Amino acid sequence: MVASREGLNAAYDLTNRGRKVSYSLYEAIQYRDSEFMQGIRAMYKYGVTGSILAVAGSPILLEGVFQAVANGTGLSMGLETTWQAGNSLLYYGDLSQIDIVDIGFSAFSKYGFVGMALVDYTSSGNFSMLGYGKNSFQFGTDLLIGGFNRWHVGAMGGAGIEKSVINYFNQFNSNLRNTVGTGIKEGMKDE
Amino acid sequence: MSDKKEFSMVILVCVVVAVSWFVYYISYEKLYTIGTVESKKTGLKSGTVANFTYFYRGERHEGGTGIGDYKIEIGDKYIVEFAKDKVDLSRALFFYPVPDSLTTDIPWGGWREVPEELKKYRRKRKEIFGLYDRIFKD
Repeated sequence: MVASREGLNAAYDLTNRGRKVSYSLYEAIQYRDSEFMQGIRAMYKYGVTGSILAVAGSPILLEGVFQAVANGTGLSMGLETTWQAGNSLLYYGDLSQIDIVDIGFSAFSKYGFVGMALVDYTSSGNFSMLGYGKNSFQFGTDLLIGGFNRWHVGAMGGAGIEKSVINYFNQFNSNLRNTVGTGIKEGMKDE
Repeated sequence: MSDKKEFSMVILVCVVVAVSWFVYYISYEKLYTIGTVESKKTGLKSGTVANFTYFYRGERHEGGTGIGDYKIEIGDKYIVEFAKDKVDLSRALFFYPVPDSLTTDIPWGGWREVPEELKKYRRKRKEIFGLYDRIFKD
């Protein structure tokens, strides 16, 4: 009746009681203005690598991915495996230097880096540990980078950034730092 | 899990892994031969490993050992210890270098122990921060 008397627009507004039923991307992002999105913005503000991609991406999709990766032990181990394989391929062109013990220790969220620095067991069957095939400099490099990563997670948390966001980026950034550490150890072994 | 509990768990896992490895390694009867260092590799969050080759009964085998504090060059020769029943389980004894000038006949089936003529080239062991010889006096 309203449609015939007042027109289709009036009938549409009446049906939806004045609310809009579709949203622009900007409005959707505002609607999803959760702590998570505030975390993304804070990371961008503090200059954390990669956060610009997160801001540009779909917040709804990313939130699910972030939380799954940040909270899943299996996914942490999967990412560690990927990094180990990538590092081995990058430096030697094969998979001989994948450290199996490190993949196991990636299941520990806070002090796994200590175990990673202490003990090595590669896919080619080489075992070494601090004082037995691994020297203090190499142990120190791995421990310092691991310690810095842990401190960085704490510092970002202290800045009010949501934990799942920090953990997600840390999965990438910590291993990038360790890849640089591998280069440092590579340079030192020929001294 | 609390911080203290997780840290203790990580250390415990390290001890269990290390003890398991040493028990596994010493459970095999060993033979000895001479190996040549072919390359050095460093993994992500790992120490540097010297990869070497050695021959047993005419077959070429490969192995790797963490170099720790030893100065190792590609092409250097060392005594290699390997398991008689699992020939690929091996480690280079970097404290037993073999000089290039030395010519020695290696038995087809390897030595049962490090020969006396090579023992005189033994150098200080650098495991356990250089304290190995003081602690074990072997």
